[in-house]
Amino acid sequence: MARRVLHALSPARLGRRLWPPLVFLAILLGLWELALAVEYVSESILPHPKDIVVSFWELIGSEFVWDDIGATLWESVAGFALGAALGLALAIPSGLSPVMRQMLGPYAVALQVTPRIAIAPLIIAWAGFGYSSKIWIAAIIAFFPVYVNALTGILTVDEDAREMFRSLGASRWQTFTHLMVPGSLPIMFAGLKTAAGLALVGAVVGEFISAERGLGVLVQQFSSQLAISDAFAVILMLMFLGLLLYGAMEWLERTTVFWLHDARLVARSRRRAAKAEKKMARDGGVPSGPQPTLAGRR
Amino acid sequence: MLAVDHVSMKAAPGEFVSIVGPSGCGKSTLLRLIAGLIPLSEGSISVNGREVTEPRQDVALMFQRPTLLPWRTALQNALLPPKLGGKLDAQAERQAYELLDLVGLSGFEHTYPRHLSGGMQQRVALARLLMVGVDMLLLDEPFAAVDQLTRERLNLELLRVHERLSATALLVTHNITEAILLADRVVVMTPRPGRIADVIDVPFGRPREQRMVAEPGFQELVLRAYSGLQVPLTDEADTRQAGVHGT
Amino acid sequence: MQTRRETRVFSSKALLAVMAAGVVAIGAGCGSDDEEGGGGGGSGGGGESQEIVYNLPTPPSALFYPTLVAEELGFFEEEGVSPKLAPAAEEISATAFLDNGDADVSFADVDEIILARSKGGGHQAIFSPQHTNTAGIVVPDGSDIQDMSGIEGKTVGLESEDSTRFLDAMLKEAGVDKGSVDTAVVGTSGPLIAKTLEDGKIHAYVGNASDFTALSANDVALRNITPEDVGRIDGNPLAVLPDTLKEKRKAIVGFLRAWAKAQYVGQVNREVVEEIARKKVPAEWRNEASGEAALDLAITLMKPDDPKRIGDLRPDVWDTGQDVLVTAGVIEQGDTINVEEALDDSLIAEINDWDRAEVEAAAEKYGGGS
Repeated sequence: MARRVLHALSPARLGRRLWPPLVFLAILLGLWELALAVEYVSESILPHPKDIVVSFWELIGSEFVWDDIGATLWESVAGFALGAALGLALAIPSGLSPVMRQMLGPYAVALQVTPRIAIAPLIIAWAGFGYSSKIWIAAIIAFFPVYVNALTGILTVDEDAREMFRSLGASRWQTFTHLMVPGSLPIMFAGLKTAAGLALVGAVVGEFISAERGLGVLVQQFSSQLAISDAFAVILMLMFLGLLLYGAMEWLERTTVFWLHDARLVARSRRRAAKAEKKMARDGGVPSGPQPTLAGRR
Repeated sequence: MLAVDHVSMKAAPGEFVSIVGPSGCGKSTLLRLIAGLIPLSEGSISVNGREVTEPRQDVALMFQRPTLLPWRTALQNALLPPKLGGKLDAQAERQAYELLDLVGLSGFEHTYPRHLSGGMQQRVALARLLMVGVDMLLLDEPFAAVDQLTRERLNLELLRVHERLSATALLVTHNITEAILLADRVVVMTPRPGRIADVIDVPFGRPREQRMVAEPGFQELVLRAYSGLQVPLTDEADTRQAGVHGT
Repeated sequence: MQTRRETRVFSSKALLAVMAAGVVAIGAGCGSDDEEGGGGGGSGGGGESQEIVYNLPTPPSALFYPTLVAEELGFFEEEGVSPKLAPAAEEISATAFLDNGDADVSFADVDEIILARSKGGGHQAIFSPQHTNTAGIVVPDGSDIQDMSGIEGKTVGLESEDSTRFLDAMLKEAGVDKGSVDTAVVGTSGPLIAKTLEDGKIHAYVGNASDFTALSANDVALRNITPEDVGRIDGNPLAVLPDTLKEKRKAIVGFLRAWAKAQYVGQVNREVVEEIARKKVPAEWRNEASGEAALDLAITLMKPDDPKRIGDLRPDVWDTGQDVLVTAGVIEQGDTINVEEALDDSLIAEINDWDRAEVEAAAEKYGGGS
């Protein structure tokens, strides 16, 4: 795997892949500076990119910011885990039982379309003023994509495969674990990836309303002091945090849903073949045994 | 909706029977009934002296689509029956290796379906089927999804496997040539509702070869099958009343 | 070999496993709570430290420096209390915190306490550290407007919808027809306030003193035209429910004594408070000018009318406060409360009963002597 990572990071390949985004960034920054230069927008509202970078660097080097980063990260991750767990917990019975589906369906949709920011203060009043309230808000926002995708995954299981399982006499539990669960992973992960980003949003929304520490709190504090470059620097941190969460999900997907990715499949094939060879060498020779038998004959 | 009406047939142990007919004649339904996947509304079906009420371990159905699980290797897919049956052991694994070799996939045991061609996937499905140790092989146009040349090759391999196993085989197809080439008997069915129009004995010896298709006797059988398909044995005005029996 | 048909709708095993995971996850969500903020930890040796939950309008900030100082200089520990902060939420009133039992004591607005009582609540104010109003109205320094009468026909920016009643009361007192004045909710975003004032979109801004100082510190020159009587109204008096006071009297008094000591330090030794503020809320010092201005404001707000009675309650000021609410139509004349009953100054003496010199010495010791 190290070889693969190195190959991906080789200068030639990196260069080819990074060129387009870098060029775009350069254009964006250029327009930004231009807008400031002609005073289309005021410095006190939109600082120079350079100032933001400096603020970012200074803040990273300070001690206190890491407490806030840790707080927001914890709220997002815990909220995501909670929301995802709830989404799965409700999607599975809904997928397996039409009655459950009819019972829960409307409420899931209602929850999704209600602006969560309106519910947030109620959640805070109920869940208390520690991390719990922020975690719950993040969880509620992360819930829906996971629920919907897991449900869809279960409902759209390959009918032919299901029939094949039945013909082999599989129990319902076996069909669930060996067919439905792996089969719905691809679409479920799509939901998880969305939810990861949304959980971060939820955590920050919760912090805006009431919190002691966190990147959302920092943004507000800096903004009220008119330390605008600092506020933007924190927004930059939030972006990186979001990328981190998304990247973690992406990696998890590649590892878990390996059968959609050629390179991983080939690697796994090789590993298995090697293991099998070793085992055969140990057990002595090509496996041979009785001819395929028939039930009820001979 | 009545899918199959008044069908009565028997198959002897070790026999290879083809069922041929156009779409909608209920041949797939018939197979599923025998496999125990669909409940019977009237009449009875028995295999090996026992009535069919649910999917059984001595009857196996092979579908048009291989339906391999993409997250399992060829070997693991072949091992699915014992895994589901709770009998996954060293012997089963050995057997799987052998079967994969039998169907010509030696060396591909650890390959994933994504990297296997359609024909290869069907062969894995066949090996999986054979793991079950069945007395009766039900085949629902198993090679319909591959190209003609591969199909011919696979058919002959199927015959080889059938010979080795001495199982009873029921093959459903809408390819008349294939039906005759492979079988000891050909059952011709007509649609809406499905019923038997003719039963043709195939006198050719085994092992069968592709060149047998060119022999005059063969083409006669083909013509007979065609006529069976176009003209049901009963009067058109009376199609719902008469039943057709064949042995 | 499968001979038995599975008849359940879905496997109970699956359901159980999944629900168990869900319960664990919910437990994690409920169980994890914030660490204590702004308050001291447990006592060192001997004696149990009593817990008290208090509510502030902001996260830990130099604006409420006494909690920071009291913790740092060990005053809470001395008094045997371990305070726990429940940070405020905009949409939830401070008195609601007490009603829900989410806090033992709550720093509320004069408005909130009067309103709560007029609705039948038993809330009482027992301590009031800020003898100057935190709310006010400002105009750009270069503006023609000299006082409230100049607001006629102008546009006023508001911090929030709630600020309307404050504005209405001030206008009525100045004899200005409130119908002639336009309002716009601008919020608390510094840059936005600055811009709208600069562009002339608003001619005055009603908001919080901390916003004013932040703006001034960033070269947005402002002039405060808040009428004097309104300016004297207490900023954030401490509210409590009588039952809680009875139950936790000792802890509450201990908490307030520590607070009072720390408040005093701010009045006599600004340097030490600055040092502590920089240490405890470094985020507020990123903009040096803002940080300095905020600290100065905090100390000014907490300058007691009578130095011997820090946190004293002044009934005349509360009467003014109630008048504002009546003038603005928030309370009907018939629903007014007896202000005397709302205030309980029986604790003030005890809260102030400590040696000033000792406290000064402790502060100096921390600061490394001077």
